[in-house]
Amino acid sequence: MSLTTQEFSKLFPKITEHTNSEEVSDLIRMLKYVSIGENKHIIKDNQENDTLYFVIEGRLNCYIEKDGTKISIGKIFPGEYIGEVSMLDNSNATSSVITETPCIFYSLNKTSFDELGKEHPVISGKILRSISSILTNRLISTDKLLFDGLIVHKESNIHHEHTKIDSARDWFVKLYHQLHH
Amino acid sequence: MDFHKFLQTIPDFSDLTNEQLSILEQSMLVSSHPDGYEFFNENTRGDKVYLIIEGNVSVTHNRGKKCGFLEIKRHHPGEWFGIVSVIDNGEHVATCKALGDVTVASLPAIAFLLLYESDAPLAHTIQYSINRQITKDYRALVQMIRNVLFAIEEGKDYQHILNKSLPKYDGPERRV
Repeated sequence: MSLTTQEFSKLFPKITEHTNSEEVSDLIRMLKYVSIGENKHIIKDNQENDTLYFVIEGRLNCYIEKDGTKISIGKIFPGEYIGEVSMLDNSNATSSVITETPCIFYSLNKTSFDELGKEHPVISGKILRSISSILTNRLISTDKLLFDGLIVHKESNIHHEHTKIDSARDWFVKLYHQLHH
Repeated sequence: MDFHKFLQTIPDFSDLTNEQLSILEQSMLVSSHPDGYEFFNENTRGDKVYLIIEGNVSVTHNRGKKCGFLEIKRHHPGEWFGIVSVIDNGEHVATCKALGDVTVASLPAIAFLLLYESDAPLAHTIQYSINRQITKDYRALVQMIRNVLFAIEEGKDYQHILNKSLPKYDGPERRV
C-alpha cells in the first residue's frame, strides 16, 4: 500500500501545512512502510526511541508505566503520529504504545531524518517547523487546561476524598493525553 | 563578549562552519538591556526570536484575576525565547523581561525565512536548535503530570507533589 501525496497531506495536514506536493513526495520517498499485527509494542515508555511513526491504518493503545504500574492514557488513530519528541531530542519515549488491531505505518528514523536534513534541508526544516508548531500548541493548550483546572479543583465542593482523587486521576490522564495528541 | 565566539559555544551549532557562523552573526542584532526591560508582552504578535548571550530573562504569564502574573520559568545564556514568532507568526503567550542586565541577539522572523534561501543547512540547524528547546519545555510538563499520576496511583499525597512542582506564585507583577 502506498499513499499518494494528496492522501498523505489529507491524513497529516499539520505535518504538511508548510510543504508543497513536490516536497511531500520527496518526504514520502524517505519513509518506510511498516505493517504490524495486533498486541505488538511500537515504543516502550522510558526506553530509547529514534523513530517517528505516521499511523495510516489501525488502532493503538497508549499507556505510561513505572515499576509495574500501568496507567492507560488513551487510544491512537490514523492521522496521528508516535515518537516525534524522542526522535527530536534523542531521548526516551514518554509513553508505551501497543497495537490493538493490525496497523500500518509510515516510519522515519533519526538516521533517515538526518539524511533528509542534509539532502533536503528546506523540506526537513519545514517538517521541523510543523512539529514545533504542533508541540507548542499542545503545550499551550495543556498548560491552560492545567491552570484553569487547578482553580476549579481548588474551589470545588467535592468533600469525599475518594471522589476527589478519582476526579483528579481522570483529569491528569486527560492532560497527559492532550499533551500527546 | 565576542558574539562569534559565543555562537561557537552553543552545542547545537557545533557542526556549523566559521563562514555559517559569520552569516548568522550578520543576520542577528546584539543589544543590551537594563533590569526590568520588557522584550515583549503576551498577546502581542512576535516578529523576532531572541538568543540570550549574557544574563537571565524572566518569563511571566497572566493566569487571570485570581493569580495575576506568574513567573513560569527563567531563560539563561544560550537559550532562545520568543520562539512563537518564527513558528506560526503567532502571538506571544508570555511576557519576557530582563532579570538584571541582559545582552541578547535577535533574529527577525523574516531574516530567518530568508536564510532558507541563502543557506538552507544553516536555517535548518537554527530550526533544529529551536525545536530542541521546545522539547525541553514539553518534557518538563510531561514529567510533572507523570509524577502526579503515579503519586495518585500509589496512594501518595499527590497534591503535595503537584504544589512542589508548580511554579512559585509571586503575586501580581509590577508592570514596567
